[in-house]
Amino acid sequence: MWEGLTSMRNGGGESRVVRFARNQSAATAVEFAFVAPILIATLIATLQVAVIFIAQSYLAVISDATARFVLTNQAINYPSASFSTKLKTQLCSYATAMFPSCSSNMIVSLQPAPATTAGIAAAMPTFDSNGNLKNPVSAACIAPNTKALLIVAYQWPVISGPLGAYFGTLANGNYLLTATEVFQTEPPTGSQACAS
Amino acid sequence: MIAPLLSRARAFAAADSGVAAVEMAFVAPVALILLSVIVASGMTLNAWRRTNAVAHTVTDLVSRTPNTTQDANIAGAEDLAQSDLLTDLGLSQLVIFPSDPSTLQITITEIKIDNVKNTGTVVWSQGYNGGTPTACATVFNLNGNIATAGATYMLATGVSYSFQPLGVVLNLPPMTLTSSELLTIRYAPQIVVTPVTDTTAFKQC
Repeated sequence: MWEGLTSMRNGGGESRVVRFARNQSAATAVEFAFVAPILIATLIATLQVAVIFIAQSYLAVISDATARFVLTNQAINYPSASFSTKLKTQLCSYATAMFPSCSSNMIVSLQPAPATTAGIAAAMPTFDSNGNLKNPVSAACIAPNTKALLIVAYQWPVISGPLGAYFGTLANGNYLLTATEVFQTEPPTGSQACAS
Repeated sequence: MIAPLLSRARAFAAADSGVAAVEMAFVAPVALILLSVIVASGMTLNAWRRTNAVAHTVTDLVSRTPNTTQDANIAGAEDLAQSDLLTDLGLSQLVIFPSDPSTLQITITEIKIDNVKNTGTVVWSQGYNGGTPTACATVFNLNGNIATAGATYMLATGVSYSFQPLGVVLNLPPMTLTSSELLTIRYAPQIVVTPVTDTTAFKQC
């Protein structure tokens, strides 16, 4: 078969392989096929970086809005048993189009802010390799006139480009976006206090 | 001797093989520099937003000091323990997260408002993480609207954050991001820091 390919003669007296190698038609297309992965990888990387930064800044906006909601004591009537769920629903109500998987991928933690320097170091958010918040994990009601720490994190899905241009930082391939807010809630109106 | 070289050069210039590769060699550096600049400016914008958040957060926290301990010497003023002030400033580390907090420097200053001159003079000043306290002779020039709004004392905060954007192909120089905030005190006309001891990080005027 190989002998057939190399020795088969046509009118020009050249083998098929030599003819193929000499052929100039579509040379540009073949050359582009070599450089295309580099070009596409750069393009995809640029696009992904831009989208990640837009998402990051949008996450900051919705965490700001949620912090404002808690700061003005509007979350104070959430029953303690469903506080976490209700706060997340409130946060997701600000995040309509940009975070479609808000209910499953969004992490919300709300707790009193640490009162000592050692407490601040201990309250630094840490995430495991799957992007789950290791500490602190809960969301609980903040009493009026109390300093609070709100941590919001979202696992942003990224697609893999050619040549290993890839921005996923987590084991499951997502990119972890985080936003933190520290604030002090307003004084109580009358006898306002956390619902039981 | 020159003729064969010239003919080779002509042949090289006339050859049209490898055109796409040559074009790519022109385009690739531009594309990579574009990517690099987008990454660096995105990171810088993020860090700058956090720097602004730090300035607002720490000033807001100190301005909301509860009016529970009245100062023994100044009528109407409330006491704030210096350890509590430093904790408020320390909370900035949680605000700047996940950026590196080691180069975040803060100076918070209480100023006395002069409604006639539209200026503020230093009452006390606290530096944090290497931030230099404002010198007593410093005069803050205020917007006339702020001065006539009725506040007698205000909190002025300056934040500086040294930041090195990630370089993909192009290394951008480190930059210092700054932000400032001016807020009235919420629950008392004036805050007095106790105990009053001048250090390199604290000045009482």
